[in-house]
Amino acid sequence: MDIQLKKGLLEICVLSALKKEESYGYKIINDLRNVVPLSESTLYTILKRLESEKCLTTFTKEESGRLRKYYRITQAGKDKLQEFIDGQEEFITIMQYITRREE
Amino acid sequence: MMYTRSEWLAALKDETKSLPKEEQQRAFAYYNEMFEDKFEQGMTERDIVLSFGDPKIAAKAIIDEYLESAPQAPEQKKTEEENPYLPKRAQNDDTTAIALLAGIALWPLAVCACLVAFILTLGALIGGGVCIAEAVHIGTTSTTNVTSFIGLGVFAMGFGVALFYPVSYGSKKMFTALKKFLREIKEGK
Repeated sequence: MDIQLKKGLLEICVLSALKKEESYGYKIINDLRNVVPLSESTLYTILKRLESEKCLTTFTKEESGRLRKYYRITQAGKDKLQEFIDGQEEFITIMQYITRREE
Repeated sequence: MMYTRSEWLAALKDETKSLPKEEQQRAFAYYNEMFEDKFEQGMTERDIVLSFGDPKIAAKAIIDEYLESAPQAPEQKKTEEENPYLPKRAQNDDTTAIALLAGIALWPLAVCACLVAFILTLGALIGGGVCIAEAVHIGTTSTTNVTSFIGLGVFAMGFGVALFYPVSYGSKKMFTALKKFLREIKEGK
């Protein structure tokens, strides 16, 4: 898949995983494992971009005797996710157009 | 190469040393935590390091992402002239202006040259035809000068035919380029 397009979709996937509950790196990769396999470095860049876009905030929590970095979706993140969901019909129409052409 | 946990993290640190300390630390902490989590889930050190892949590749992804988002980072804000992340146009305004001026000065010349070449070609073709027609006309009344008229006519027509294709091709190209140039000026590029 086109790298920019994929990056955008992965951002949405991560936001979607975070909408359910606040989460941490390993858990996000694990939750999305069956949807899309993410490498650690890919997730790192996605999280960083989403943070700089203020779509998520971070905080640390002490768990099992160590600090773990957690990510929490912000209103801007929820808006971005909703915007994508609202545009899904357009996306599906485009996909249908493309695949019909390919047949 | 096979890494241990500390070797892998040290390699990552080394490969990301071009980044600001804070960024380097952030990447290190991320992978360190990821290691802890995987280890807690029962993965072996060897498998975890293998799953991380080459630290050089991981570092490259981190650096690329940093460079891509750098214009927004306040510590990277430089003055306009020296910021390598700014779009090229902002820095190339001078060159664009020179090219534009040169273009404005050169286009009329190019158009004139095309016109002259076109008239020359047309003239040679018509002139050649007239010469041959004249030769045929003279031939019916007198045989003098027929050969020289035919010779001149054939030469002129040949000249015209030889010029016709390069000239029409050249003018077509030139007018396409001119149209593009005018459009670019209009769009303020």
